[in-house]
Amino acid sequence: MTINENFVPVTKKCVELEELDDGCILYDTEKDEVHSLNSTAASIWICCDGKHSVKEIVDVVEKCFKSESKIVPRDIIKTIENFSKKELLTP
Amino acid sequence: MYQLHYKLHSHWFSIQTGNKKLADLCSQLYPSSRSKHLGSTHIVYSLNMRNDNVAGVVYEILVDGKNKYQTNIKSELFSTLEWMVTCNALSHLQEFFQLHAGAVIKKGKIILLPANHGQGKTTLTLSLTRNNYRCLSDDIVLIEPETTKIIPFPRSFLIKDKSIKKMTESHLIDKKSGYYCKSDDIFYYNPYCTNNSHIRNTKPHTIIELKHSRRFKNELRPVSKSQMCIKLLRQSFNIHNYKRSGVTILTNLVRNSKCYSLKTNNITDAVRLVSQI
Repeated sequence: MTINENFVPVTKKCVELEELDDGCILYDTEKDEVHSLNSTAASIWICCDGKHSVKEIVDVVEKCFKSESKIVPRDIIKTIENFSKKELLTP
Repeated sequence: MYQLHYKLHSHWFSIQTGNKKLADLCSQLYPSSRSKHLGSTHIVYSLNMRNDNVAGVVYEILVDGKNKYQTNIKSELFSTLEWMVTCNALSHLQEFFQLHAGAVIKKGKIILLPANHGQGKTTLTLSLTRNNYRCLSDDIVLIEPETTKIIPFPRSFLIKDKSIKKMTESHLIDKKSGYYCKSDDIFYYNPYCTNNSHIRNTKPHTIIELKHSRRFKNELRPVSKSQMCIKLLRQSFNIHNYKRSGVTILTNLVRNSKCYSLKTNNITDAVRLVSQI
């Protein structure tokens, strides 16, 4: 799967989320796998709703975490690539 | 025949033996779980002692009448029996989410100490009990799935041979709080309070993952709740039975707890760091 700025990521329905103060836990009900995400990755995950392109997600996440830390757009794209590699996104 | 009955939460088991000395030692295994009445016993353990021309005295453990283990070393008999009882109890107590962790309580606040084997759960638990903490478990913690309340798993610590002297000298154990069999150099140490019922309504306040190595610098640092969730998942005995709901139990568990990682190279500093929380 090629992740570019125009790509619109969608999370798989079988992946369920448990929110925590400082991130979240993802549970893949089909593969019976668990993943932990920090707060930035959790925000990115929530934005992968099929309504936002990678470029839009980068803008939203950059704005959200502007005051807290320096989020590099490249890192956000890398995070979405990781979701894809772990087969958490709809192909 | 001496018969001892135990009720470990919903699991009933009995130990029977024809030897009074063996019965006395067995009575120390789970002292706070002894029951006068025989419920619907799930498992019967029988301890036999016989003389063998070659091996000398041979001790046997029979589980529901089937011979499962034999040895000529009495202390091994008891450590194996304790291991068998614990494994069978855990396989029966599936109504609880089970974690490989120690647990102590002080002023109503429970500290969970999850760790791999050999990372110092028992030593730290014992040391904390010498510093005004009360022991709930040194190795296994049961969790009520709906509420994430901690259920004590009160087994005695079996301490053998040279460790008895070493641990007594370092004030980790007190011979008054247990049963010492001088002839066999076996000491059952019971650090649990006699009545743990009032602890049933308590959720963990702090979760500390333990890592011990002589190469480590002593360090207590906060870890994220999502990371702790994964660490706890790895320490669960029965996550395979809970799957999705197990993840919910763990997230509920960490949600209201402070989460830390403790790296230590000695027990004194470990106790000091835990006491600072």
